[in-house]
Amino acid sequence: MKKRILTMLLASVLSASLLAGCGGFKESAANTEKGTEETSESTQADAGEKHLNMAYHSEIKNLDPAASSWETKRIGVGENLFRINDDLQLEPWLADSYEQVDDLTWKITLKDGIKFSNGKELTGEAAKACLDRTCEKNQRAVTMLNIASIEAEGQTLTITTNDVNAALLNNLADLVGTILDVDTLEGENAIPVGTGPFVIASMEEGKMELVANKDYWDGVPKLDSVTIKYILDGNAQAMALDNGEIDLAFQLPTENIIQFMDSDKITVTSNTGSRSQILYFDYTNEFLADHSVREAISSAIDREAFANVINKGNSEAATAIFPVSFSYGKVPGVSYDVEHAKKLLADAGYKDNDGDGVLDKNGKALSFNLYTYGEHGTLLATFAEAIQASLKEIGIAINIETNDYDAHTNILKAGGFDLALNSYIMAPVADPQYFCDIMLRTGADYNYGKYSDEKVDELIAQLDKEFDAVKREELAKEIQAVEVEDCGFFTLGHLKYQIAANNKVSGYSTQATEAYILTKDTDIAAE
Amino acid sequence: MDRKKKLRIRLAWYLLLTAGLLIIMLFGEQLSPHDPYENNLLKIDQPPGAEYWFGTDQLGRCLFSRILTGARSSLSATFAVVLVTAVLGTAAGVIAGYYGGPVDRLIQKLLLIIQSFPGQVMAIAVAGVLGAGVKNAAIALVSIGWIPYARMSRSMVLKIKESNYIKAARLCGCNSGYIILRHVIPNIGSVLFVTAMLALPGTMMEISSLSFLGLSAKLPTPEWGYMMNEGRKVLMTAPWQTLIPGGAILISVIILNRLGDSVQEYLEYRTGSI
Repeated sequence: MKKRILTMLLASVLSASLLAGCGGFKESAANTEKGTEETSESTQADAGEKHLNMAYHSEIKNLDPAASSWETKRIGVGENLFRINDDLQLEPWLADSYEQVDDLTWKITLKDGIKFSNGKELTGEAAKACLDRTCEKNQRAVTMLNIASIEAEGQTLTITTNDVNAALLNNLADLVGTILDVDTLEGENAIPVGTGPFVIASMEEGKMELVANKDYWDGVPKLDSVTIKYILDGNAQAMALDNGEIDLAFQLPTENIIQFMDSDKITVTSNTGSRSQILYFDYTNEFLADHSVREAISSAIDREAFANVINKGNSEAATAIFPVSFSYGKVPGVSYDVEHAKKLLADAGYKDNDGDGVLDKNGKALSFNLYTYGEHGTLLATFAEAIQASLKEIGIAINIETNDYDAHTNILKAGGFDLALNSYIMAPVADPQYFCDIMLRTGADYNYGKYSDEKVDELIAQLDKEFDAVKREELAKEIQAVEVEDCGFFTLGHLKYQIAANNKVSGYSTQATEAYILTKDTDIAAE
Repeated sequence: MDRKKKLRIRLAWYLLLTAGLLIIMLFGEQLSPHDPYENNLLKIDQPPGAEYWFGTDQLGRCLFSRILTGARSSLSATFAVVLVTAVLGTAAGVIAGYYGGPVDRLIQKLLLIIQSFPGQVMAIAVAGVLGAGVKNAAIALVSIGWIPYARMSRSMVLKIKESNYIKAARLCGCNSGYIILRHVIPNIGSVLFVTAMLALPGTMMEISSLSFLGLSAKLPTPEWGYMMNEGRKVLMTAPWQTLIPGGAILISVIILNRLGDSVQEYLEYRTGSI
């Protein structure tokens, strides 16, 4: 009898803990309490020090720009020759001046007297070594920079490109152009050293400690130290922010952002971003190679409702490829029209012959796999389900496969996936050429669906060579118009970029390129 | 007499509740007031109310309908897993116990190997390798669930194998298959039946936790565990999306648990009084 009561108790305790994920809830609440104690202890120990606790939504394992790491720039450790300022204009950063010698050659002079935080001088040679190494190891760098050779002489770098690359300077502001001390990049547990306002003091399981770079070339950083805590779950981040365990979080899921909208101790800054949700069509699929199927799918998805209702206004519906708020973004796209979608499919000969609610042709059902991954506030997973329901309306069956990001990317690389839903930052360097080069061009690195259009390729080639800003925008619009005509991809919308921070914190970057967060001006007010 | 009656009433009561669960499992989809798959973007995240009794989820689907429809995958998987594990485990145990020798050693080794893995971890690994789907989650649970039946039936068979009536049956020329079916199984059946009944709630929890991890539900088929996972995102703003499927699991587990207890007590009393 005793045993039975015990079983009964155990079962109800277990189910109660399943209930509402309460087990996790209580546990993390307990953890955070402990965390606050710890923080207050450490604040006491370093009385008068300005310390910031920041959350990071993933475990930072690799900081190497050659492995496409964004992190050193975001946390104020690494810097580039150029940067994008808050008006989304390019400006020199580590570079002092630049000069275009001819179409293929650029001469960049570095500022004098800049040192890496380990005391090494930043010379042309040091910058060259880092850029050469990244270009050697990283395909993204090869595509974006297209560098043939770099000559270093004193503080001067002479960069020669293989083809005309009008966006070279912008692309040097991308993560692949981060300048770090190459000697600190190799090895299993390498801790990179840069020129930025912060220095990585330690990397541990679950967190990273930064201290101010007292010799920073652009003035003394206002903060003394920073702890970056890896908190993978959105709700846990929100709770940590709410109870003061962390002072700043970025890229919070929509639900948690809404939670802080009316808070009087947390400030949410929101910027129109270029982080997109984009649907790949796999051109190797016989049905998806059919234009009318792609157009029908594009017409059946109500982007406005996805952005404003499902994502509760936390993203902007797209029309073509780029965000509608961009100067080159307002290109008319396929409009939402379910009847039109049905008609397209009917005209193309798709009929429901077996009466199962799914259209078919030549004995094959119009049924696709839709691959996605569960990151970025799990918005993609919710959108995938909404797409599944939208396409059911027009008689297309969708089978959703959710994987983690690496597995997902491997499936896309292997091809034959049918449909895939991804999230990309489309303009990390505030220029359209980046996304055209990596995504839209025939054979581009991320063009997993194998979309190919001669006209688009030709226009991108022109864009690569065009130096005039106005003409570049025109070209970007033309490229999108052709792509919309083809229904080559389908951009659902662009997520707003939000940072939620304690009111005490100031001076952090909220730029929607998502490339910068901590700066020398980041500050935290005393209690 | 009095106690027997009390036990009977209790057993009947829980059988009735279990029958209710079975009805929901079989006819849940037909009983649903709304289409459980239909998105209604005008009515997302509605709290429980008159039109949607349990509210709606992030895509505006009726949660009440989804709970009813979800009962099919959640409960049928539970019953199927328990049935299959009991049959497989018993078969393995009886064969090992009755025939002995190399067959016994082989099965014993297999038991030890599987037993050396932590159960739930092994289930997660198997389900992860096989991919998402209720069927795969069930296979994962079966692969570890048959162990207790095999051990138990083997030890019981070892005991009754030496008893006189088995020897007598053998002397009468009965073949092994007949002896197992006619004499061995009926003698160990009631104990194994009780074990199976008691395993129901635990299996339900395991199925739910696998699907909470996204390993058993195939979208958009509703499944209670996965519904909780989906609701987790909006725990702060729309807690009912997690609490209601959680409640459904809780109630089912309690009913199945009490049913198991009642069956056990009733059978114990009956065999005791014979």
